Amino acid sequence: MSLSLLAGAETQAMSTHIANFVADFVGLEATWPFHALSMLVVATVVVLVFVTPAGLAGIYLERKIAGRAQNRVGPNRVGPYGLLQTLADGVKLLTKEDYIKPGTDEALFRFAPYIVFLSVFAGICVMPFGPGLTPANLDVGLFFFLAMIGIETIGIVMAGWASNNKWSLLGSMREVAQVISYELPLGLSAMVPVIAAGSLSLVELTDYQQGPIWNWFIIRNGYYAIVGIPAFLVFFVSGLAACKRAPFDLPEAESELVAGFHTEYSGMRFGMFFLPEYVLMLTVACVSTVLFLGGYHDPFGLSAEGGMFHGVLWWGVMWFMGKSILSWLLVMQLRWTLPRLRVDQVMYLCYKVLLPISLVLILLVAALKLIEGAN
Amino acid sequence: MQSFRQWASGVWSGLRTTFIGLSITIPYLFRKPYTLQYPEELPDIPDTERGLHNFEIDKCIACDQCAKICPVDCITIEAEGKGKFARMTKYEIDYTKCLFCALCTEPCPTDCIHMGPTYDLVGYTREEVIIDYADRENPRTFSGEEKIPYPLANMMRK
Amino acid sequence: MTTIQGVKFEGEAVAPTLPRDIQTDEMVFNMGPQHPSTHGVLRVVVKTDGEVVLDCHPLIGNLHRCAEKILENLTYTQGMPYVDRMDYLGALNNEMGLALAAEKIAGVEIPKRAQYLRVIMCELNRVISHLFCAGQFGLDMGAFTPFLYMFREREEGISLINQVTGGRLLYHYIRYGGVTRDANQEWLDAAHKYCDVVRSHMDEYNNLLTYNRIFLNRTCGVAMIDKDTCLRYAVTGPILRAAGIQRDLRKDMPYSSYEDFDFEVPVGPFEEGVVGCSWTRHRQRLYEIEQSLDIVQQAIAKIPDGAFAHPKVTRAWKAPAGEAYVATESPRGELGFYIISDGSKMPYRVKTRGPSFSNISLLGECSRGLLIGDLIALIGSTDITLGEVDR
Repeated sequence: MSLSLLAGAETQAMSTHIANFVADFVGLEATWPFHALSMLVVATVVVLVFVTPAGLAGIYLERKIAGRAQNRVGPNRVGPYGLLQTLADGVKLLTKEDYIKPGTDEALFRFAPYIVFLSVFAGICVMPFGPGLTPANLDVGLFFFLAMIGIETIGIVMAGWASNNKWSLLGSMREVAQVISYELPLGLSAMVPVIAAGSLSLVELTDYQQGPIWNWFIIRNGYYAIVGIPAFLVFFVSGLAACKRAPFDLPEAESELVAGFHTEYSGMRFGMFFLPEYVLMLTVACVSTVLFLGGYHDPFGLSAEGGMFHGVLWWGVMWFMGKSILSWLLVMQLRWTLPRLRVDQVMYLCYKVLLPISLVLILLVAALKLIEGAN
Repeated sequence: MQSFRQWASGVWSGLRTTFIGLSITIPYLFRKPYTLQYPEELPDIPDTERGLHNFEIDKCIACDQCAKICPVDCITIEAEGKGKFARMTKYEIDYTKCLFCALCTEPCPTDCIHMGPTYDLVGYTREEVIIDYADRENPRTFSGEEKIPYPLANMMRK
Repeated sequence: MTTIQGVKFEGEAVAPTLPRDIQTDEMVFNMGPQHPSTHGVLRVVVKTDGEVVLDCHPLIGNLHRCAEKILENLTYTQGMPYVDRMDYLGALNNEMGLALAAEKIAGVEIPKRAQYLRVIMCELNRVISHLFCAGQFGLDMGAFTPFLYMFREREEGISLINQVTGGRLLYHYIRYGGVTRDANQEWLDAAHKYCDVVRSHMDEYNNLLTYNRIFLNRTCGVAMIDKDTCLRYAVTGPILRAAGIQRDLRKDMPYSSYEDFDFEVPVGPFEEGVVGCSWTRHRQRLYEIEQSLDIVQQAIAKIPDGAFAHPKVTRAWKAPAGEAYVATESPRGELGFYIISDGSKMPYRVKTRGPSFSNISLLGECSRGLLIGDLIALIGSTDITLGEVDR
């Protein structure tokens, strides 16, 4: 799946290079199997080298924030400041018994974590991390991201259904209802900057906001703030629900459903659910940065066309990751602040609060766009 | 209109209380943690703590008072000889049963058994937590002030 | 009447709150004994239609230890540490009940200072027990952080009680005829200061949890236990007061010098919510914490000098033949001890009226029509201790 989707300009060039090199080495013509295999290698390396550490860092940060917010210390034993704690836990998960209890639908049970893992890691491939650094620069990048969140649900439903556990089943049913519903406000509030910028490509959406801070969509030209700020809030809340974070962590609500859909998973299969959760949070934070907070542009206009840092990779990556990580941390802090909603209240919030607001915002932004065009 | 006002006030109070909550939890990120780093930092144990017993074998006259009052019969006493020449061969407290109620310290005529400050009772087997205080080969010496740390602390100091 | 997994469900209950135009298959869940929200080893068999609870049946007895029978086979003095293990969160209140019952048979009037010390300790115990319950309820609702904030203050309270009693959870402090140890002035000052510390943190708990909109939505008007149900099931304690009935044994039948103190019994409803909903019960407990802190501070201010134990009550003390029932207000409700003595050194019969046992029995009736999340709110806000239910 990620084979063709990862074919962004840079990765494609790299994989062509590798394919030619390998074909040359074995003395054959560089035909499509070489290209396909080298693309697969590049995609795997990108995901494993860049995204997995981000997920591990997320788990560490979450524990540290949970600790400090609760007047505790958090992990501090393994490595300096407990930095190696997540790694140690990963080793523990890897070495644990791979137990599948009797009565499960084994094929689905084994397959479910891979769907979750793949879809989440594919979703982050369309992010514009910096100028010229987009693993897959799709014209419908935003749409692709929303689609990947939808596919992740399938994996979770499979996990809940195959587990032969009523709590898991209930958790996965909640997940379906919740994520499918929140796709609506998530997509609709994302449409607000899309209408203003006139593109679904995340790179074009970013470049639409280049320049100083008042060009960022959230407060663009001052008057866009009346749609920007509410749209950001709606997107953020829907994003929380889409990645099942507190206060919307109903699919795994530990005090109600024990652990929800992954009750019966242990060892690395559980890890395959756990790591993507943090990567998905990062993805949602990245998308909100791209849509509302100017992507990889800094607030001083230095990275705009003609600025002194225009097209400078490290400058862009620094600002992009800085902004994304701030929203990421806010997501974590919210988990340790708020109680959990009830299942019907989650639906109420979606259909009666966020959906109407985002529809009104779409009307407003269209009107603003028209007025802007008329002047 | 009435229901719209209700709706709007609900949305507003949701946002407002979320920010109030964040304004409470975020400052804690920059505050000193409350917790103790246990094996290195030990908690203050008051003198009144009812931990493992301090037993002074030299004072004991094997009168069996403590074993009699024990509600769970966790004290076993065996002695050789009679009266003045009695020699204690066994004074065993079964800590798998002990309630730490301190009733055994009260009837002692020679004041030889007290509740000590040691609170760690760990072992790999059940036999390890049955302690024979009359074992002269490996005597257990407790003093009132000394805090016997958790075995983990010893391991980490090495 | 249907029987599922050996459990009898009464009648064909239907969900009263949600329309049932879609008929689906019913499911039976086993909530517990290893479920995180059943507060111990309670097993609740829940019959649901999707998320809606149709009926539920608490199955108790996993923690049965024959406490009453053990008490009948031990001397009075030996029995005292056992009652700690019943309601292990309010251990001192249990000791108080047993001691008062035995003293009532013997007609012993214990010294004033001992009575005040008992009151101070019991009220501090009530504070830490309610802090635990309020935090646990927040945890059940998905808010982890207030739980640990409350545990921080609870920890300090435990250390405070530890300084006098020597125990942290099971105190064995109150004896027949008085208490085991006197508290010095330094400790009384520390306890007075501790009350101020807890009071200064109440705003934090309330802003973070009690008045949070999500928490209000989760608990206001949810898991109702009304007056009528309370009276039918002999429910007592904070649940009864939150249902709007003014009943507090410390006020109505004062024991151990409670009549000396000036305190108001908070009765629901409060600022938000309605009479008998789970939010009111949560708020009731937080108000009772403040009220208990008041009582502690009054007792510290008024504590007289004197002996801390009756001089004639010794270890080998026997109660004369007779019988007595004493009811006390434990953190969970009316805790009664009924002792029949035949004049020997052991009680002839001991019967405990555990408030948790009565409180848990309404689970089946009150849970019908709730969602699974609300059932957690119901169990969490009734604040049961399984050690006391099963005894």
